[in-house]
Amino acid sequence: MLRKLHGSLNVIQNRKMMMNKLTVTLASFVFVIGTCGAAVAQSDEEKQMTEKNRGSEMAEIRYQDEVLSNPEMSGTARAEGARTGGNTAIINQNGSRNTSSVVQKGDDNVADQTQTGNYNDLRVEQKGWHNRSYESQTGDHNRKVKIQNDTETIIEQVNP
Amino acid sequence: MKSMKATLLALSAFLLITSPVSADPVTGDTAYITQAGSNGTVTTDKTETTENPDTITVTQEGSSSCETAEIKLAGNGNHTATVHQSGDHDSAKVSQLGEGDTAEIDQSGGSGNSSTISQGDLSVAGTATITQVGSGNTGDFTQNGVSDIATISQAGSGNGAAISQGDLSVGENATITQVGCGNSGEIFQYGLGDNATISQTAEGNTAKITQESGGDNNKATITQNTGGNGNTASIDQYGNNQTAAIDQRGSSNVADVDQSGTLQQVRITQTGSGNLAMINQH
Repeated sequence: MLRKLHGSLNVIQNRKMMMNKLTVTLASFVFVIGTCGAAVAQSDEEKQMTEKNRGSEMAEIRYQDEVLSNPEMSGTARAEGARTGGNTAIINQNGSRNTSSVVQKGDDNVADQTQTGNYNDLRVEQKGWHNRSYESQTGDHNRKVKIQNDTETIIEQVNP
Repeated sequence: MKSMKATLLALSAFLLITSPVSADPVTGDTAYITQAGSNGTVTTDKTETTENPDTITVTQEGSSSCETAEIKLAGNGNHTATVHQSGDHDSAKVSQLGEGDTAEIDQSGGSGNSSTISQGDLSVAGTATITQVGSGNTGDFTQNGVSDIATISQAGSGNGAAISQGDLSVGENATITQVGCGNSGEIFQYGLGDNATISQTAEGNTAKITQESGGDNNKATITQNTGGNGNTASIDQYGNNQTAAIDQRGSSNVADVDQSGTLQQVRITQTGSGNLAMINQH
């Protein structure tokens, strides 16, 4: 009788343990579902934010494509970027075997170089938009190197 | 033996002092200190704040050498500090902290002399002048104020001049004039609407002006146009609407201008052969 009672108690205990396990499992499941639901709910908001960001990113890309890369756009629009410009460089050299060099980065710059004499070297490098360069070499065996927006032009001027 | 020699030198200097040193002049008073001899030392330190103008003049004259003069003036009130030294290896130092102060150091006829003038943060419309005649002299300025004027004039060879107008400077003026060979002049400015000028005559001279990113509308000018060879002129400007100009005459001269910002203007003029002019604007 006692053995039977002990046996049934064991069965009840085992079932209790199984129930506990089941409860824990169910709770975990509910938690996971809840978390997933919350995650899904959050992702809707995030989605909106991402769309927003993507929109501003797109706007930025459009700005870079249409404004910064377009030489026809107005200087004012381009001036809103971080680019420098509007600078003026003037070099006048009288004599022989002189070297004149101007390097300008940015937009709307002006370089003006004048060399009078022989065997002179003149170099101008401008990277940006709407830059202007004036070069004047008077004399013999002068040399000029001109680079604008990565296009290099080398002009040998020999007046023997 | 060495310490005995030093004691004798100090004693001889003491005996040659023609008038006593007033180490602590009365507020608003005038002090004239004159020394003749060698190895003399004059130090005045006036730290109390006063509105009254003080005048301190130190003269170390004759064939004196290795003399030292130091004047410290604090407070607002158009103070005037003047040091005259004639001899070799003399040293003069003036410190001022106030408005409308005037400092003048004259070291004529010697070599190896050094001058230092410092006008502090509160200096407004201060005027500082260093004049040196001889070789191997150094002149050094520090000004942190508004509308201050600093001038260094040196005649001789192997001289060095430096002017620093620092953080709070607005509308400052710095001028270095050097006549002779192998001289170096340097001006550093960090402010708005500052003006820097270096003028050098003869050969093998070096001039450098730096106008840092603290402000706009600064102007820098270097002139090396008396037909000298092997001169170097360099201008660095950071900010907007800055102006730089270099004028050189002679051979094998180098002119270099670096500008960072917008609406900058630079002009380099060179007359002669084998010269190099470089402008970098970015």
